[in-house]
Amino acid sequence: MSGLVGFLVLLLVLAAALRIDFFFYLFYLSLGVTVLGRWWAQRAARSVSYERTHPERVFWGERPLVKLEIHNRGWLPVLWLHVHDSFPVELHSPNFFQQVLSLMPHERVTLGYELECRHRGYYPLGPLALESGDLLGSVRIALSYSTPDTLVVYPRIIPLPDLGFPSRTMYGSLPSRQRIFEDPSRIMGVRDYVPGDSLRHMAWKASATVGRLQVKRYQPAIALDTTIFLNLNRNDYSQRRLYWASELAIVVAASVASALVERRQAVGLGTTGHDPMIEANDDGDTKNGDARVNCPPTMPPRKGRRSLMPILDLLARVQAADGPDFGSFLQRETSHLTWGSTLVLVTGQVNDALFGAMAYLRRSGFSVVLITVDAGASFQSVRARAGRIGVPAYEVWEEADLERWGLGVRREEA
Amino acid sequence: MSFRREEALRILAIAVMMASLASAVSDLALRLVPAFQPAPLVGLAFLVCLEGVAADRMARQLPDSNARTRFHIIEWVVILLVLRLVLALSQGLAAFAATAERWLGSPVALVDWGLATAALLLLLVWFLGVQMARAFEALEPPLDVAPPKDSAAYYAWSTRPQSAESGEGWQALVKYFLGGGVLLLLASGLARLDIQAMLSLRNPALAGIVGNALLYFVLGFILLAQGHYSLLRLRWERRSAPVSRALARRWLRLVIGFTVGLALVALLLPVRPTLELFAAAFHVLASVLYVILGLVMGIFAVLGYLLSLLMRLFGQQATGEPAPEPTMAITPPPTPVPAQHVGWWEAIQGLVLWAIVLAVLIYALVRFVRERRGLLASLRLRVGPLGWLSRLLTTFWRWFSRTSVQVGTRVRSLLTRRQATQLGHSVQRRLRWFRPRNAREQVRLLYLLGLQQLSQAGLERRAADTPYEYAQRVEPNLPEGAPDLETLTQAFVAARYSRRDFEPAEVSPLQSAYRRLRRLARRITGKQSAP
Repeated sequence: MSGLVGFLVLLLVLAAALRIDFFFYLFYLSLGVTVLGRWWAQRAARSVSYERTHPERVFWGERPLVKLEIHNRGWLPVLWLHVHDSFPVELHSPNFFQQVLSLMPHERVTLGYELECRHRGYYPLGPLALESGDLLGSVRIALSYSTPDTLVVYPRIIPLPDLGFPSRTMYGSLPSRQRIFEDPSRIMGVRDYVPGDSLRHMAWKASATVGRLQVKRYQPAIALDTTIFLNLNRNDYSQRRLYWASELAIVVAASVASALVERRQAVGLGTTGHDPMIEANDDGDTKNGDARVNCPPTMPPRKGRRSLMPILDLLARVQAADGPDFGSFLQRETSHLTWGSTLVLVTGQVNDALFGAMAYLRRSGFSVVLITVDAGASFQSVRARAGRIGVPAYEVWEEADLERWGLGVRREEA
Repeated sequence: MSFRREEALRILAIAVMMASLASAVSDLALRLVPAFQPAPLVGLAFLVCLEGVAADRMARQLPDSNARTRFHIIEWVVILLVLRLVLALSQGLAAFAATAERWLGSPVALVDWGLATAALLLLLVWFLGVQMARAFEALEPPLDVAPPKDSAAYYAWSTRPQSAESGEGWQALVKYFLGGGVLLLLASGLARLDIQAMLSLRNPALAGIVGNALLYFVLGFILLAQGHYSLLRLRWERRSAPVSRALARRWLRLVIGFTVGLALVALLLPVRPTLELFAAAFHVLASVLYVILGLVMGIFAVLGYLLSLLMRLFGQQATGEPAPEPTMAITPPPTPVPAQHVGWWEAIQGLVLWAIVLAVLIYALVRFVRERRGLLASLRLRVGPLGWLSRLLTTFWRWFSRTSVQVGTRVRSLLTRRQATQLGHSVQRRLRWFRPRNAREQVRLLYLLGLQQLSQAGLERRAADTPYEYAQRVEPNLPEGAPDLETLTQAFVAARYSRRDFEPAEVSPLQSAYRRLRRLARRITGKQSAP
């Protein structure tokens, strides 16, 4: 609009030289349209506020609605307003929502758009960019609001009604051959009395029937916690399948954790992946002696749905990274776990160090289950070798395997 | 051809602005020529502007520049005829009868300085109105309705660039609005200014409201705001941003309210203090200039005195014979030429001249109305000022037809029959082309016209041909035109697919290339048609 400025100067000169009143009126009018128009646009744009409402956590496959309430708090109308809200492309394509509107004084307009949550993750929403201007295009006002709005999309959870793991290895409260604790509510039979048996366990009716002293036999029971260890070290995945296999590993971990919580078992989670919410230590004192990645702390086993949410939160955020060696990670992170706990190891490929670690864990009294997602052709040898140290091994090559697994059909079973 | 409602309102606003401009210039003309009557000219300027916008749009549908030129010549013959009649009638019926008698005696008397001045004013108004309407049109989003696949326009539509250069339209709109505004201010100022008082540095302030200027600027700012809205809408459409339905209506209301309110507030603001401020500044400046001038004159006087002393020292005497006073030769007023009797030879000359003039006028009128028949029919159906105007024009045309029938039924019917047959052929052959709005579209149009010429010469473009494939296939049959075709092809591809801006200077070499290609194609067509 440089032409308009030149025109204003010329008009002023003409008005002053010719001394015609009306030229001054026209000068006032032109100046007003230019200057007051700018002021109006700037003032009105700055009185616009917004509020974004949306669910903070959603499950995979849901379509949450994000609402944007645009409010003109001022007394001046907003001539035009271009609303542009951005979000990651994983949530929708194109990765923005836009609308052009005008706002009268104190008017509220609610806009909404749906996201498609087909990728787990921790997503920032925004920034929201507002653009406005005056009626002659001499000024353009661009405002950007970067808010901490985030959306967590949980990984896909495949129902696993029939996990089919060996009974002693997987479930927490389950019968065990190690008779350390006996459950008086689970009577499995009677036997002859031997000196030293507690009188509280006497089966008086059976003794009367057979004519000898009989003692009740109880099923042995132990509260076996389960901790899932998820290996997201890039080096343990093939380059070709790194993305798919690591995502599959996360789906496996989430599905197993959910299935166990459904059975009211205590579940914990440890991972070698990178959590973007954890910033690197300034002094470089990172866990595992590896300064490149900060692993999230291992979550101790806990019961109930409340314990599942933090696990799913972490699984939504975590990413494959150059993390620590999985074997040494396991040896360190299992030191504080209860003896007899079940460890479900989800990994891409299996190396010698991991076999060594699994043997160590077995010797330490843990029940270990191995699930590989990127073993490929080498899985047969992995299964055989794991079997020799008493570790059942399973292979999940694609999500369909996990779905079949949930229905009780196994692709590979130790 | 039809106009959307918003578009029609914009054109009406432009016509009102141009009438305001014509009014200002007429005021100035009235001051110079007291007998001048501005009122009919203002109304005529309004009508000419409306007609010019519609005619320009129709003319751009014609693919050939010769047809466009003929169209505009006919248009201007009719405008001049109407102007001549209006100017003559505005002096009263008695004066009109006397003037008509003079015209009958000498058809050359139809043209005088009054007509020339008024025609120049109308030409200015017509040009500005057409250019502003074109600028608005360039701001409109392109029509996205696909033409029929077997039409020549389909290829143009299918290869249209997605990004329109609407910035040019906006700049042109601002330029013409401000240019017209400056012209209006100068005319209004000069029409009211006392030149003698100004030259004697006694320049009293002139009070009063100039209604036409106020109307021009208020409408102009509203139109500029609407133009900016069109520009923004185009940008939003390019970004695929959905626009709220209420936005256009609100925009118009807010802009009208803001501009009119501001005009009313501006009229309430005091002017005298500002004038006094400028007067004081002017006096200070004049005093400083006076002192500087006095100093310079003093220095020159001293130098002159010293120089005369020096010359006297060398014995030379300054010869100071006074120069003879210029005598002002007063030419006697021209003696009136006594009226001579018109001889038979002069009468025949006059009749022949009149026959030619009438033939040209009737031809122009017939073509003028026939070319606008569709437009008038669509306008007659409208209600409001446009409908009223079209009905008025139709009534005028009917009156004119009856009169012309009485004058020479046979000649007119012969001409009409011939024109009707020609028009029928031309309508059959006429292809509808898109209207180039900028240099990029001109480049595309030239290429497409080239394709049409080559197609008529038997070198048709197949539907699956890319521009380069087509050029490669055709060039063996067209060795002389290969460089020109290559130039046009490259320019077309750049205009169609690149995002770089095209300068108007780039179009003229392409026009030359097109003309050479057309000559070549016609030569081939002539050879093919020859036995």
